[in-house]
Amino acid sequence: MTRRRKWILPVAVAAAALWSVPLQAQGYRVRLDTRFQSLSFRGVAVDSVLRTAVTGGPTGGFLTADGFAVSCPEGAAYCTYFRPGPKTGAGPVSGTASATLWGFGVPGLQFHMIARAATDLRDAGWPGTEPAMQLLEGYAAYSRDVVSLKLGRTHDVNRLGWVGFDGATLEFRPFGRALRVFGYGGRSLARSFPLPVTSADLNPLGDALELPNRDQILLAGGLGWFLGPFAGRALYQREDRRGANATVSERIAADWSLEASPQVSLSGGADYNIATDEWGKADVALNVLTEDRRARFTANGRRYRPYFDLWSIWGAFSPVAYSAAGGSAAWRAMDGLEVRARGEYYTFDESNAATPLVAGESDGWRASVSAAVLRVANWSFDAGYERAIGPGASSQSIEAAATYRPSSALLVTVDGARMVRPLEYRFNDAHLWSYGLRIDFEAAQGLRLTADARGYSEERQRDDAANLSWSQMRFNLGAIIEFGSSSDSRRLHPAILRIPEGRRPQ
Amino acid sequence: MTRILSVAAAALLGAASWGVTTPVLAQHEPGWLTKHGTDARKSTETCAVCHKRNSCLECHIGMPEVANALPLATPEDPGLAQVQRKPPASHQGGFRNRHGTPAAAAPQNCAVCHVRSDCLSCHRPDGGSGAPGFHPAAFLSRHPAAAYGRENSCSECHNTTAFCADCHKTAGLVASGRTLRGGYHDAKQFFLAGHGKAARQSLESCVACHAERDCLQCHSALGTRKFNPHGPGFDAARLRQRNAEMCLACHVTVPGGEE
Repeated sequence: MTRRRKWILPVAVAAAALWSVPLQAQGYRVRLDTRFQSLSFRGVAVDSVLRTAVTGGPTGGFLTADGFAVSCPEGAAYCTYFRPGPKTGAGPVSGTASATLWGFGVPGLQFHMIARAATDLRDAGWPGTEPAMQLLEGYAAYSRDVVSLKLGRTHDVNRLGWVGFDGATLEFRPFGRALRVFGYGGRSLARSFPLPVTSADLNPLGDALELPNRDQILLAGGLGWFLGPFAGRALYQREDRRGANATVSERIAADWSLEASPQVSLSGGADYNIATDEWGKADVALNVLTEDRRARFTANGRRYRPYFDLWSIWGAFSPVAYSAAGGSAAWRAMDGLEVRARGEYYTFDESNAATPLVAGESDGWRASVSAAVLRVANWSFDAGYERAIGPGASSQSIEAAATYRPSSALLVTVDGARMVRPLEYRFNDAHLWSYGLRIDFEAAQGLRLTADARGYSEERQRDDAANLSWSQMRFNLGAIIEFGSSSDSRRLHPAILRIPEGRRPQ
Repeated sequence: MTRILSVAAAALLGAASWGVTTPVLAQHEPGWLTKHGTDARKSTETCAVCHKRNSCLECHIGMPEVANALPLATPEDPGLAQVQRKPPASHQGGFRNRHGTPAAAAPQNCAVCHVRSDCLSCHRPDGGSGAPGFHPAAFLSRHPAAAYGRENSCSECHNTTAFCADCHKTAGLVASGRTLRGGYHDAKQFFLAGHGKAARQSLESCVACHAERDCLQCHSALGTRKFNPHGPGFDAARLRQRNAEMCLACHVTVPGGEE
């Protein structure tokens, strides 16, 4: 049995065991989400030409005979450049099934499962379609007043990111909401992806260096407190390679919030990388609401440092952090009209790697203003201007959207944007239009259909023949079917029906 | 735009509307919404004059038991007040971009109105499947600036190889050959010779197209050029102690370790 199919047997056994319980004794909620996308676009393809076959261009560089600017490394016999790639068409289709089962005669016991199947109907190998079958989550949960337990494949999202694992989560609440003590651990899944870290599907570039050769063991624990206006959470988390004396990560993190008054709150957090003896990300924010609650102001500071597991070499390349300060404001000028603005300035730490040959930006800023008109005779409008200037890339855009909701069953949204998006390290001063139409329609109770068409029309301003076009159309169709043990759920308030887990045990 | 997407996402989940302006009766002063729990816990007699159980359940989907003190609505007595779910004032203007810290610090606050599936609509393990989520419409076309500048921490939700590099590969942007494909970074004539600053500032962007072997052609003690990639303050001893296997990617023996 291949590694990829190893999970099938235990899942099949678990499913058979569940099915053997009389269904009439169970409650269940099922959600089937199917999506199809059709698109085609032209990417780029690297090409090379003999150095003797290029000619000098008007600005001092070299050009191929048909006008493509080339790069000729010193001493190399060939020059390289990018041509328009082949037209790529893709038709990815995915189906995601979510199920929650309860009512096994044990109060507080539930089973959760999210599985996904995906393929590309045009065999283009569209990203995300491998592996074809993925078990995103599958766990048993038991929850009572003071304790919660999960067993199986699940994940936690916290300051350290998306952490998936095959294992267990345990939480004690000895004093109600005031204190939570929790821990989780098991076999790690990849960072932000529901596959084991050793899966070849995590290595699309085919670099043997980039895959851990052993499973990773995750262990984490922490506590959370809720003491009136002051709440917080502290977390310790580490991963080690199984059977080897090798740490993958070891970090601690904390988040806190203080409700100083109904109008003023302060929140913040930070993480520290014990393995590398470095502070990671940190942020602090002050939020102020005006007395009439029509306006909100936020001032924030934050620090960002990229994080890499120790099985890769990237952390040894000494990536640097940036520090940022910014603020935002929102004002409800009148009922149905909201005006928003935000801005942030950031500057990188000294990289100690600058050369006189290449100048680069070390700081940047981003800002936006927008306004929304809500619910004017079933219409909503939103428009904004956004600009980001920074190292590597910049963008400037103006966008608008209108939403029409003639009934609770139908939602139609049209949007459009015009943007400029230059890159700092590549001649790519692209001007782009994007426009889209989206329709959400509840065709029947438990059946929702979606259709989405989006177009991108781009003009790239280059002086050479590599004036490639990325223009394209993308079409999406979706169907979402939800059903459950209707004998009891139909009598519940619609709000409760939105809870796929069923009623949360208290 | 983000509000529009929120509406679409909510509609997909069959949720009630977001951003609906609900008339508040004169007897509910501004700010009443966030502090009504204290009054309701003391007595619900006053509440019951106008409200039925549905009023509470419109928002309190994570803790429906709070509604038990109020009578059920009936066709004959549906209640005087019609409540529609809406975000509190603290959620005004881009709350999705700043909810992380308060949500992590005090998830109990979130649980008053939200359940786990609300989080999973964005923080889902199949992020990037095409369903509306965190990013505004057409974010694909503007993501280079957001990614280079790390407006958000992309890798907290997206795997840099399986998500970023895989898509860039489809577009022909990755360095999948054995050479560095000179020519892509053509806005800087000597980019290869002076890329260090850009790499240290935006290494997560580099690895969205480059594999380790691209860099190790020059930055490895096993190669011919042997350019040292380690910056000032690099603590080789600490990393060797924590994971000596990483050192062996570039060094014949672990530097400073036993032969």
